[in-house]
Amino acid sequence: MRVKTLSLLAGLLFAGSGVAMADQHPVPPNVIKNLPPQQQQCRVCHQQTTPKVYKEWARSRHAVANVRCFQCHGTLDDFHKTPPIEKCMACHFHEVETMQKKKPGMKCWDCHQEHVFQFHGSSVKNLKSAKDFNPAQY
Amino acid sequence: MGIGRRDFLKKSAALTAASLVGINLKIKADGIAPVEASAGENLAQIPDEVKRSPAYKKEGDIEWVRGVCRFCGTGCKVWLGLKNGKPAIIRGEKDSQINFGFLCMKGMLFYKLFRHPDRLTQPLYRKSKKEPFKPISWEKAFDIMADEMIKAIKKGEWGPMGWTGIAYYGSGQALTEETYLFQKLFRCIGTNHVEGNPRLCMASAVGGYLTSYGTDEPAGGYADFDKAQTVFIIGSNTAECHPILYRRIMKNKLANPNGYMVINVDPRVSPTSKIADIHMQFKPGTDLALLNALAHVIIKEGLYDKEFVSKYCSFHIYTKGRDKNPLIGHAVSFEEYKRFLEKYTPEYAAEICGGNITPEMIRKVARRFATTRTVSIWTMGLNQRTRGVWVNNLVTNLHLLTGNVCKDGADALSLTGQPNACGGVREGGGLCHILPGHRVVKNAKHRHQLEKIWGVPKGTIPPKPGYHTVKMFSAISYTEEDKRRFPGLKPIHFIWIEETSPLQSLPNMRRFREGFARDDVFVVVTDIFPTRTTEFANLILPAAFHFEKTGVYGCTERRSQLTPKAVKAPGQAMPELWQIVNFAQVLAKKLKRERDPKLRKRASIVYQCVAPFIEAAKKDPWWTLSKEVWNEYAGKVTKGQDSDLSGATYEVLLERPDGVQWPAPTVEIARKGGTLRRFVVGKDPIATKIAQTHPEYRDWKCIDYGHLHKDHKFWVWLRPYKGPAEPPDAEYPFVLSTGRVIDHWHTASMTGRIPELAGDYPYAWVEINPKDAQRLGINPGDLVLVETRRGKNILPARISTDEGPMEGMVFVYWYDQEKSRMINFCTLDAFDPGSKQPEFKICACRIKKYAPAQPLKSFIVKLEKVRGGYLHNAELDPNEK
Repeated sequence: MRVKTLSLLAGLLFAGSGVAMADQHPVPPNVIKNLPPQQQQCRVCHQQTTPKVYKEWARSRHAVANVRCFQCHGTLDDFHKTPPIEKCMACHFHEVETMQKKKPGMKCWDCHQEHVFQFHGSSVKNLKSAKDFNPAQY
Repeated sequence: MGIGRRDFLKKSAALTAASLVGINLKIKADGIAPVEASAGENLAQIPDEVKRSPAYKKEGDIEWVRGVCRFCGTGCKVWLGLKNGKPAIIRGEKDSQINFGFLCMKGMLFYKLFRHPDRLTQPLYRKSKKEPFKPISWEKAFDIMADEMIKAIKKGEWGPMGWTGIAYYGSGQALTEETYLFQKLFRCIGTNHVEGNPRLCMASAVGGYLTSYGTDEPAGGYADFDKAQTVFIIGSNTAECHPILYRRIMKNKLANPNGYMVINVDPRVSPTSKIADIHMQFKPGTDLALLNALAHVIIKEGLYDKEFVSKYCSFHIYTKGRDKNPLIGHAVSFEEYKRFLEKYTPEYAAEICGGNITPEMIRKVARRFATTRTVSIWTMGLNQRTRGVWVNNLVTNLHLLTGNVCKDGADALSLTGQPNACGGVREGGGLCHILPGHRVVKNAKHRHQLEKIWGVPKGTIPPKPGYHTVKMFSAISYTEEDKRRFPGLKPIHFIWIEETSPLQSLPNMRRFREGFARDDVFVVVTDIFPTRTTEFANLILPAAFHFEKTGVYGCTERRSQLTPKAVKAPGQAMPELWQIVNFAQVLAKKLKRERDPKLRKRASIVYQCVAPFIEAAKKDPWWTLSKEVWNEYAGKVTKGQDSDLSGATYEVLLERPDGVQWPAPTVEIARKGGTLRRFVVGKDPIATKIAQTHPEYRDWKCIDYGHLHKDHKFWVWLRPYKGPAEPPDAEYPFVLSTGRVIDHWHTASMTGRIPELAGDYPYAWVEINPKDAQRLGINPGDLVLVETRRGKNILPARISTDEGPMEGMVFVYWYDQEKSRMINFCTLDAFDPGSKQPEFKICACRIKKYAPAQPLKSFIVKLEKVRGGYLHNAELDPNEK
């Protein structure tokens, strides 16, 4: 129920926000900070509010390697709907540098789908999740 | 999702003007500006020698300085970027053989701490712990410290371990130079009460290597992950605790999903299990049975490496009463080892282990282990156990039996938790029983070697080891129970704690916190932020942060790397080395005036201890001082030892993109990165020399040169199964285990102040198995009361069908600073009799629903201005005290 209210609130805020508000998280930080702990983490709420995006991330190399939402999108106080490319540079500095030299203005996600970031096939889909693990087969 | 060629061209053209071309990269310093320096202030302070080296470069308006990350034992090489003289960005070093440019969230965000408003910037003092702190000068601080230390020495006694009244407690995060000089000072003052938090972290691994190899630290390194066929992970949540190593394993796994096998052995399904082919889930504390059963199968099915075992291995057992030295025990035959293993059939082990362990699974894993190149990794899951040393031996046994050591892609690699537990504390002599350069206190020859190097009289270093961590803190709490537990315990009245927060990280800590609150214990804490430990300090000394001072960190794989100074420290914060050198001079002056000849004699020794560094401390405590301490440590103290770093000068360390692995006895060897593979003739300079000079080893391919192994062989140990100290029972039916999350580092005094990390995990949780939760009527987010025989916590529940502990077990993170969520009030302080490392990982507890889900208040220790000085926020809030 709470999640539904949140999504509605999110939708309304986002609809009314316009372009100028693009970098404001649709649900204001103070609302989220007053939620019980289990609803505060980005990935927990987004699993329900944006299941498609969550799934894309959850099956990516980034997810397996524990790269989390805030590493690209920032915190609620420093939120970017579209992350600045500098965020990628902590790990992929040379790739971004080469890309900017060759094709100025390009973003990583122009070629590698955002959240999935598949790179010549990530093969993450071949991994079994711990839940699927069946001891009987061994 | 690709984009069309037309779109691509359109986008490219439109954005050309705003592009980040070439070296003029426009980096936006993102987020809340924690850098509180005035707008125009230039914080860059980079030594000239660094500026002339490959560890420095300037690109546009960004100055880059190369150093190491300080947030785990991996040793990732990082570039810190200063934009307009302010720390603004961190990126990985692409040429590093450790992280290849990648960083985890802690590594990429720690630049936000340099000018954090909570930083300690001036020495603070209070006579009584009931008063507020008042700012004082450094001179006054050293004066008070020296007086209090002498008072404590006089209150205590002189014994075989030296003065009983004073102690030092250091950290695996202190720089090598710092640990080395701290322990040198305390040994010169005349006490072996020198300990550090690595006792809580890797002491069992030290015991494991010392008994299996005869010398500490692993034989291979991270490079083995790439050549391995199987990775055997036991007692380690690598995905969160060593994320960059996990990424490397993941990369190998994804590149070769069918050929590269990952086996995760853990009672809890953790994020590490995501890439595991086999998850072996066993009842906590039954690992010794499991590992012996693997050995049983390997022997029974004839899968062991016959040549390696017969030529390079011998078999040992320790029998109490019969053997004098537990590190040596006595030799037995291979046949006897086989007889010992008879009992550990897969069926027997599977019954003990419970969980999902089946005899067939044990057989399958044993076959895989034996027939492929295997790397094993482990951390606290094995080390924080009352049989930590034994279980370390049992993993190494499997490698020795199958010849999975001393070759590419095969190693028994104990991961270190902290960035400098290996380099600083294990090699630098930061524990009560060891001395720098892999020497031991008990050995008179070792003591005299050091006394000669230091230029102090023979007999300066007391001959008996001091108190280990639990005993040291028990000597401060000094309750009746403590005295009963450690007969003959002498109280400690003065302690200097550096870069660690024991009053949040020690197990069963209620009595320690009560003891520290007393006014007859003088507590000095050197740190960068207020912590749960500074709350009990008399004197808080502000330290310089990473990159604000210079020094070396030595990571898991015997690799030493330099972090040079790059940023001006805030206020009056000073490097610890400067603090030691200045304090020692004040102390020496005061000791000279003492009547007791034993004390007076120490005056010149204490002065001599720091005399070589006084000039440098005056002129340049930020760079030259560290360099001179390193030159003494690496150049003189490690020279000729197995941890030889004499070739790894600061010049070489600045050059190398990934540091130097010892042994590195010459600059030429160090320039090439040192020794990747230890003990192998032709690859390890020490082993090669033995093969060349001793005809009996001429045809040996690998030689164990551990100083404890006179036969030059690797030792397989016979270690029987033994359960945990406090198994669950009818009253406390659950097993409580603790651990970390990726976002937070230890007690979160740093990561809790980085908004991104604090926001992702603002509170500790208790993880409960869904079946248990259902049975007890606990829903996700509900507040749960966790009780042990020692204390209680109230924590929100985390219940997941994907990850979490097995049935009958709960798991709690220990970073939260809020009192009702500090799990170390509950943990057990029983310790391994060999390594003295406490059993954080297993104790009995009970849980019940306390309240429905509700918003919680996050808490971080802060200093607040009050009338008459400063007090901690917890000291002002009766609920938090």
